[in-house]
Amino acid sequence: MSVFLPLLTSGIALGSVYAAIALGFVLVFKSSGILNFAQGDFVMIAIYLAILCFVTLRLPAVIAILFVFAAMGALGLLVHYLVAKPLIGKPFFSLVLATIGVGLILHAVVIGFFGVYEQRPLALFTPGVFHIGDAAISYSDVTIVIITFAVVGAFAAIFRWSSIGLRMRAVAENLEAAVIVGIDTDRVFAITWIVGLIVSAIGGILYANFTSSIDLSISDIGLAAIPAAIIGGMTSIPGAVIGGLLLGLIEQIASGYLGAQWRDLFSFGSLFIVLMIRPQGLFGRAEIVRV
Amino acid sequence: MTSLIEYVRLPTAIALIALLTNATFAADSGGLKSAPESGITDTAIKIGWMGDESGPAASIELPDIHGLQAYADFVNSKGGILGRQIQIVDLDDKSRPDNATVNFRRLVNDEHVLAIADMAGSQISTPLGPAIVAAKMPVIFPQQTTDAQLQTPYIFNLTAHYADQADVIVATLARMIGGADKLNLMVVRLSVPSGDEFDAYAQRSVKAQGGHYASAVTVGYTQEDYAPTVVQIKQAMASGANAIAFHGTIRNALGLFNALSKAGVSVPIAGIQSLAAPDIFKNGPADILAKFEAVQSALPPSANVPGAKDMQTYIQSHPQYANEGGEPYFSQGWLSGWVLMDALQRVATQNGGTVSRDSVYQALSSKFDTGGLTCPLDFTGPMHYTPCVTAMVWDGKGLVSKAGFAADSATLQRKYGLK
Repeated sequence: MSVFLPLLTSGIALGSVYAAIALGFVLVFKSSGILNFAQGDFVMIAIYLAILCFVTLRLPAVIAILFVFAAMGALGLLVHYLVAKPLIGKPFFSLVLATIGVGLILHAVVIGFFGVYEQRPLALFTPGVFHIGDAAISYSDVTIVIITFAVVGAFAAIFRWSSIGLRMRAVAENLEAAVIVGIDTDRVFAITWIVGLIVSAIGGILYANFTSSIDLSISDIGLAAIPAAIIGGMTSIPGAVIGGLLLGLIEQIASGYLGAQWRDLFSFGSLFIVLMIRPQGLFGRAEIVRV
Repeated sequence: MTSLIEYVRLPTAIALIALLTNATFAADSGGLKSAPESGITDTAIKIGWMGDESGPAASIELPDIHGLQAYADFVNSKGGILGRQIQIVDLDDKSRPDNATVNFRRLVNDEHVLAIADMAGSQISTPLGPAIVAAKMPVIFPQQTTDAQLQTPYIFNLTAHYADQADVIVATLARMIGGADKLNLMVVRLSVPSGDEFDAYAQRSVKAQGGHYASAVTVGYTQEDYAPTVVQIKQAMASGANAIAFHGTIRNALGLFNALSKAGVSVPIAGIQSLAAPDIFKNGPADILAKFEAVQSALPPSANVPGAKDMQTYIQSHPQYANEGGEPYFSQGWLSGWVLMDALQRVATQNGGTVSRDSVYQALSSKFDTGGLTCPLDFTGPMHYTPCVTAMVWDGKGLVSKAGFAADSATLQRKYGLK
């Protein structure tokens, strides 16, 4: 128990971070069909903006968060109109390469404005730990889990019951039919990018409180969130959450019992097993195509 | 009609003017003849630098190029050296061997630099070894010392070899524990080949010094959470391990130290050279840092030694470097320029101003006194390496050596037959 409980609690916290970031990835894919390989770089931008607002400018928390959300929303709008919209109808890999290019640009922007040196992590949540047996659990980790579930619940509700969520689902289901019934698909795609990047910002701010230091390699978190989304199912919002939590638990338990050198083997091995058995992911829908 | 005498006088006058101009020029050039293929033009001495300026190791390597650029600027502001300005040609490889290969060729074939400073990363210096020898290009002070580098004659090494770092780390932990016989060593290391190497050297060293080896724990290069590592460390400590030799990055150190502090685990830790970083001492948890030391081969600019005075003067008047006063790698960059220019001046005076890359290489293969910034350097041997490392702590302003280079490195130098 003294070994398993700390790994369980840290796995849930890490998995929550993965879930929040994977959610942004799934939102964009579900609505627009774009595999956004710049997801990690968007998270990185959000984190550096948060550092600018909270640490450098010392803005009040509410204003800082609203500024980060507004900036990421504006960035999402830019990405839609300058990158995604011109490539609608183009081959799939053109879109993928375009997102990779966007990621490289974002990387260069961060170097230009913030430099390459490590930054301190954010410390926005309550410090300190409490103990359950031998396991020390931080209040910050608990806060991360609560916020993640709140965000997921909010967006699941928006998708399910709001008119914009209905339109986003319609566009994701059948683009031509959505156009025929009069849905402004351009506006839906733009809103998808805005919402997807705001969700990425939330994931980034959570991650900035979780990690030990912040530098350019923080964008690698995107590479961890993509397997989480694929495991859960690229078209399922609850799947992104379950996939993230599973991935976090697998990584922490494998690392704790076997060593960190086994972490990637277990996490990507799980991905391969899921893809072999259920290619659409644990909660995704299999796509039936009429030939 | 022009007379014959005038026909003779004019060419003679022209020749005399040319001779005088040459003589004047030679005097203005500090007695150094131009050798553009060896990086010495009429106006500049070109030094190359290869390293990571925007990639994963940039935060460690940028202080090095800043130190070299600062040295060049410092010298140039005083009129340059041997009648010329020092020109630094720095190329970013983002820690990638493919970029580094292109950059090396560019420095050799296009820029014709006199020598190359840094060349960080064993994944870069090792495969470039044959090319370095073929080009006869001196390479000054890469940020690592590997067996392959010690076998490459044109590389001049300052950074302590992992085996020597391990010796001093083990000795440091033995001091912190109260004796080598009480030491039961756990190694925390990256899951990379140099981590395996360090683990092997640490095992050998602790047994040679009379202690015990407990186990090794691995950390990942991009590991986000260190709870699993803490779990493994606690298990090892439950089995008797009482000290940690740490091989990792700054990011690993901050993550692990925060996780140890959160878990209430207190254990003496000694780290490798890249962990002697001000960022760790400024941002890490105080309870863990109270028992943490890291080894280094050069003192930072803030050190109270004669060799640091010029750096301190320069940094004071250049606020863009204010944050690097505590960075040992800034000193290393500065020293790479200083040693190279010292060698150049020696050969220029000895050879009547005729210098080539080869003669500079011969001049580098000698002894240098760095004014206490590192050990007195002795590159007369075949390996071009002076084992020099000391354990450092933070005094609030910068990294300082507790015992000093002489004490910490004495055993190493005896091991290499240098004392």
